[in-house]
Amino acid sequence: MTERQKLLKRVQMFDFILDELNLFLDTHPTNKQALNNFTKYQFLKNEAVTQYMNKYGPLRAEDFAGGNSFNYVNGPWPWERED
Amino acid sequence: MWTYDKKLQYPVNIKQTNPRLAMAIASQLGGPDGELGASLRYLSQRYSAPYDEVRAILTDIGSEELGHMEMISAIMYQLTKNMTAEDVKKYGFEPYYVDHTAGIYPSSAAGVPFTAAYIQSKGDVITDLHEDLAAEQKARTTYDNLLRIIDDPDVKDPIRFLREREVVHYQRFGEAEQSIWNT
Repeated sequence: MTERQKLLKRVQMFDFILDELNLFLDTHPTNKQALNNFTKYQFLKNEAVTQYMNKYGPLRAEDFAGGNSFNYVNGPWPWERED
Repeated sequence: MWTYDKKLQYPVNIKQTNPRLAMAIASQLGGPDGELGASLRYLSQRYSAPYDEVRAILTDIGSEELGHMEMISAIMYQLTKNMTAEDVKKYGFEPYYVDHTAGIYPSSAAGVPFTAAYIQSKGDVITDLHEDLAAEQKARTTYDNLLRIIDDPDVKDPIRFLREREVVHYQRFGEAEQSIWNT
């Protein structure tokens, strides 16, 4: 696994936890434990996204950090395999 | 509104070209119980849903299904990458190849193009949620069938993830249906 894949996997992991909590909270909107976990993992996810972006560029166009080239367009795109 | 995240929900890294498998897995993109139908079903049904919790779950599961469409497409893309004319013949990929080359096209495993006739939006929250519960189980069965015919562990791994999501969605739709009786 490349360094880029490792950092991306952390983002994917925290994002997945948030996705799961999101669906659970949709049907249990006042569950205290889930609410606390949501806040906790929001923080960890943002930290992982920042770590990734600092090295490999934005995952969302809106997170473009400025410069001479719009590096959001740079590959690899998600469906591409890294050999 | 939707915002694009430049990542898959779960990693897909397939090394072995296998167009025959791509053709079978295509059903979970554009087949009768595939991810495109799932997404369109929930995102269409949500407008007539009369309760906030149901509106929320249909919106969020419908959005997640778009991510699953992307994962299935990535699996198909990687299974047909670097494919030679010999591979097309060896893996019986001719019917797909003639019409779509290595393009990703939503159709069933038997090549029937995607149709909205696969889904329903009935404007009745009980009816719609029961369709959704059935849809999640049908998709789960399809993933079980695929897992029986897949040998490559790199393909099995993301397919297992997607199968598990069907089980979770079934659970959440069941809770949404139950919540209606408590309001």
